[in-house]
Amino acid sequence: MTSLDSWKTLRIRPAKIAIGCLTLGLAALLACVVYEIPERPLPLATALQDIATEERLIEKSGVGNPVTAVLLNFRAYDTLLELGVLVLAVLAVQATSAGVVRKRVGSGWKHNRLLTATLGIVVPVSIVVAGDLLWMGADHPGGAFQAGAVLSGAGIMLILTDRLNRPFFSDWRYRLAVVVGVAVFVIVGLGVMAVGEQLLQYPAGLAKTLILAIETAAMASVAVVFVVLFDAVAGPGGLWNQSNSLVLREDRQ
Amino acid sequence: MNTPHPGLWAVLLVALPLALALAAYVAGRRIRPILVWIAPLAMAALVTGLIHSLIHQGPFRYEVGGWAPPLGITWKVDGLAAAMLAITASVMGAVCVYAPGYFAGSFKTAGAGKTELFWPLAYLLWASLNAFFLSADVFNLYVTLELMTLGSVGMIVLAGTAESLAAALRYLMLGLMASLLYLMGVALIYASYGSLDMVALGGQLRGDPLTWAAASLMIVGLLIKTALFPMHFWLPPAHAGAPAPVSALLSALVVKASFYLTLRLWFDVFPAVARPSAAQFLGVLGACAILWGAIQAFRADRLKTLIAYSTVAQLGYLFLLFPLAAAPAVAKKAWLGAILLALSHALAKAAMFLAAGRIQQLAGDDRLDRLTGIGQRAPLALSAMALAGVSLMGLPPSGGFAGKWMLLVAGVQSGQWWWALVLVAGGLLTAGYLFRFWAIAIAASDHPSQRVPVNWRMELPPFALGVAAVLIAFLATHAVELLEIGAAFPIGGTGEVAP
Amino acid sequence: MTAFTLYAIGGVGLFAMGLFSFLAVAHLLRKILALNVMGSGVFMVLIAIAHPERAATQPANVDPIPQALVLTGIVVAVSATALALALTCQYHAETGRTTLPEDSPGDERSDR
Repeated sequence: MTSLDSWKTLRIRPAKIAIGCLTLGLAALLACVVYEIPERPLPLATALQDIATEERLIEKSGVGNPVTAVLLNFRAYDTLLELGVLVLAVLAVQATSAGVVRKRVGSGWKHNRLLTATLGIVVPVSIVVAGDLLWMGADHPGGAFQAGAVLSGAGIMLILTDRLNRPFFSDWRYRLAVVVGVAVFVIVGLGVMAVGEQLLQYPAGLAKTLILAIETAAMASVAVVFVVLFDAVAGPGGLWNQSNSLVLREDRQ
Repeated sequence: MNTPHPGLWAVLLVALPLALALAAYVAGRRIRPILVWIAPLAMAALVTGLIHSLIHQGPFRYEVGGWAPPLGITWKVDGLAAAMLAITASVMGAVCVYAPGYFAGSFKTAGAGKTELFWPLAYLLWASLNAFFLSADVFNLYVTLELMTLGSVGMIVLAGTAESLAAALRYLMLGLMASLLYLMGVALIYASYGSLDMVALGGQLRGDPLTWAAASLMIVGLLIKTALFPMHFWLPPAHAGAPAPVSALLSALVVKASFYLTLRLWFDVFPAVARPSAAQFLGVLGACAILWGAIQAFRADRLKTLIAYSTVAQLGYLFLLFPLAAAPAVAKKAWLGAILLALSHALAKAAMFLAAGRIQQLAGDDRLDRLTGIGQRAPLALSAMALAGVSLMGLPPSGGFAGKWMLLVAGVQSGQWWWALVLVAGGLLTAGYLFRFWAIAIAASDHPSQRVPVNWRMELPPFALGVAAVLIAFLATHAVELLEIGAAFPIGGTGEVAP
Repeated sequence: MTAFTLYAIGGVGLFAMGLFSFLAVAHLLRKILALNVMGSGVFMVLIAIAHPERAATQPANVDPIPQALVLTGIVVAVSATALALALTCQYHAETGRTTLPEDSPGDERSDR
């Protein structure tokens, strides 16, 4: 079926017009509603910085960047669950591809001189940048997720040039890396309960250290998860290439 | 008596399945006995501890991270949450015992890879369900909803068939769209009130158009996830196409979760914008679901499709709560009745799916025309389905009867007799399609079958769940006492409880 | 019209466009894209809420909570998109279809 035919399927059907009117109406309604949102002081924005007693909340959190403070201290539980979402995505994608016999394919780019030279610069720089983002994330924009994304970019380049060992799903070390983020988070969260606090309530003074530990593990997890997901879906030998019957490519120089 | 802080029970209820899921992913085979037997018992003990502390120390709010709202996330532990946690533990415990037998049987697996994935997925789903029932922060609920959606989809594809892929894809797409509708509502709520805490919002909610828009978005998203007619079409293929233990989890627990949140939002957070016309509209949709589900169940050609459409119909009953609760005099009775109905349905539907899985294993297929006389080969499984059916039909004594009776009385007492009629008609329709299956199952078959030894691991869990569904009737007064802990009556109060 | 209103209405517009595409288009990959656009719309509304213009106190401070919510939302959206893509690819490999059966009933096996 050509792309033209896919247009015909739902093109001028009355259903499409009805849906269009509905969503247009929804957009108009929400736009009016949003226009009316009162301009008024936000309790939280003021609570974090302006009110004298509350000003110390940011300092109590152990980090200087308010977004990091929210992500890893005030609403750390959300971040824990979000790391769980990453693990679950890996599990679900693994379940989808579990019955598929993986073709042993390479991308053919392993010996390409331009790519090899590029990788020689990009990969070490990525590692350094990721470490910097992780460290600076405490007081500036940055943090575990950004660092993990940069690392995963380097990892994806390595996959695309056949330099990273596959398969990931059955290797227990990759599995461990996938779960380490959540694991460290849970250990810290329960550990602080052992000294009498609530779940994930960091004791005063230890907050920065614990946050850094969690962020490091989270960075590793995020990087590995993105790399594994990419490889399973879009990498050479992934599900996408399977369905396109793209098998073996000649080595490209 | 030196009781630990009640929050500890709640924390462990989330942390333990989470930790086990991670361990199962990394070292699955070694900890299998823990996953199948020890962990469910431990979870049951934790839930019992939580209920015990609720009864003796009352409901409480747990501040995760020690930060008070609106800055931090809180958990609200009251009777309703505890009841949902208890049902989750029961159904998941039964599924954990049942699953190894199912996967070892004639289940088509391409390699052991899929079987070993069941455990981390199941325990992550358990953790996310518990986290969901405990949470009182609307954004946190979004994250747990996504956890549940991804987990469910991952488990559906364990079936390995093309239909399960299509069903999983459809479920995922609709689930994601619904979650985004919900999230847009959350964003608007935050824009207007600056808080994400359900209890705080309940106190300060105004009845302006912005709140109405946000509430509508959130509730419509949740209605799609609860498969309310006409957004139910994703449910039958998904629940029928999944492996039997997964179907049990989905029908019993996951769809109840979004209904539970709809309930909470409607009564605790948005009473100021809940118009009676909207309530009546939900009731009408519920009645359509009852009718449509029953018709499709009667026409189903496979057992699991029949049971899945039965879920669509039974969920319709739950939505009769909203118009009935609009009359303040009977609101409490309707609320209690609907929740009892939801709890019994969870037990009964899980029993039916697990028994259906055993039957499918024995017959090699679940097409109804191949199941003639299957009752002789799996009498225990069929008895489980019979007990579950008693609850589904609303026959006394059963939990289903207790719930329906309360809803009926509420309908009659408030003068909304048409809902009472719908309830009665629904019971008759349910009997119709259930008897259709039983007639096939106990008919004399052409091929006299030899006795099959009872597979206790596969037939006892559904039987136990069926018995539990019936037993709820005898425990109804205790259940009502539990549900009333922390609940605010008349409905529409903030349910404020001391942290 | 303040900057906040502009961004918020933009977000609402994206949300509605994504919703329309999701409901009206049959092709699975386009549905996944539509979901991403919807998500971007919601994130834009959240970011608009964090705008310092909305704080009536001086100096105006940016609200960090919506930003954290958006970060969480992005990660969830990426994970969900990855799963949806994996399912779509596998579905296409097994059935040759690029749409769900109810969306284009007459679709024969095609290699797209």
